[in-house]
Amino acid sequence: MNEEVYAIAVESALAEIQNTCKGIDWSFVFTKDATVISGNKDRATGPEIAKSVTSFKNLTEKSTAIGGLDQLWINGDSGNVYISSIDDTYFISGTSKKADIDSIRSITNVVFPTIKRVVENVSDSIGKVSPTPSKPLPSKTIEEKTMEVEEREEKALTEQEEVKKPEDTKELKDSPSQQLIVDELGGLFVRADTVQVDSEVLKQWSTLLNVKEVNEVDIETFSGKKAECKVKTISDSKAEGKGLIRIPDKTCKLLGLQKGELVRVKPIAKEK
Amino acid sequence: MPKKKSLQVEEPADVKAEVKEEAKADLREALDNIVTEEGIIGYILKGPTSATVDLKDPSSIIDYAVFSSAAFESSDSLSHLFALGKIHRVVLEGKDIKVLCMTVDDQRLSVFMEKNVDHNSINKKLTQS
Repeated sequence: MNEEVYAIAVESALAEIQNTCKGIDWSFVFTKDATVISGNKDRATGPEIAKSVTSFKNLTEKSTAIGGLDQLWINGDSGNVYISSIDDTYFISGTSKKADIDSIRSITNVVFPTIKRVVENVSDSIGKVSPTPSKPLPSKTIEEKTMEVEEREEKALTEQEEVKKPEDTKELKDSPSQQLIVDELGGLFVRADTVQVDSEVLKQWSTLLNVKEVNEVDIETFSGKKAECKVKTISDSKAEGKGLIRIPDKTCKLLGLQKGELVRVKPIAKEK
Repeated sequence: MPKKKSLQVEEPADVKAEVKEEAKADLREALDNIVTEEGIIGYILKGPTSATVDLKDPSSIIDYAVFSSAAFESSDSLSHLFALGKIHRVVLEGKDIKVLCMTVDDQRLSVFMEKNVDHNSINKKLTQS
């Protein structure tokens, strides 16, 4: 399994759970061997978390007397900590004192395992994706959806899409496409029309298309929305080699994308 | 006009000790009643110098005592890490059994019960004792 992809997807799932269930202040997921998979960045890092995970691991080792530990609820003066066992992982969350215990329990025991399994399946399929050309989506469907979307999208994006391509530029019919994971790109100097992709992916595309370099890509979401953007290599070394496409916040909003989602990315190459 | 000083009466040490002993007796009485209820497996009440154990299956005393001790240690550690303040109660659920842990004065209490037992009602009975 691609662990980095899995971690990103779990992080997004946790964020969504937190948004849905207002009682949860923070949460993260760790394995039975005390490895933190993903969670709130400010809580899931640092030696203190390692200590708490180790402490909890010791407790689970001694829990044979009660048939293994499934759930732990600590009710304190300033809040609660809730830990739930899901398959081979543990979900830990911090909740406010007045949190709705029943909804948190249902989320952790019903919703989270479902999300986790879906994420695992998706992650497995991503791990199997090769950089070679994949089967194109039925063109008729794409065209129909694109027409609808183009009408609805904001002016900026529409203008961007309607910009006439230079005569020597065209999207090759058999362009390689790749599924990449969305990572939002924010900041003052970020151009809304430029996305970032791994340099390795760009190299592979230029080799496959037999062009000097790839400067533009076609992004297609799984809901059928499309956008053409300029492309550059990922500027943050920490985000390299993870199968990410870093898309500016504004463009993400226009395409209805969120961090962790998958998009199909196709290079637009200039013919020689 | 000078404010009147409120009268502060300090309880003598022997009175405090007497109140504590009364509270302990009430707790033991509540536990004796609880242990007869359906689904209750038993309890471990551990003070600084002594411990009271009442479990239906005496062969599992050590396992339960070790687990109970680990539960207090782990919850203390988690409470400290996540700044939960004073712990009111800890509920641990296994595949077969549920445990309600709480600290009463200087005594650490673990009540073992079947999963279908309402631990909230047990907690209420113990805190009212």
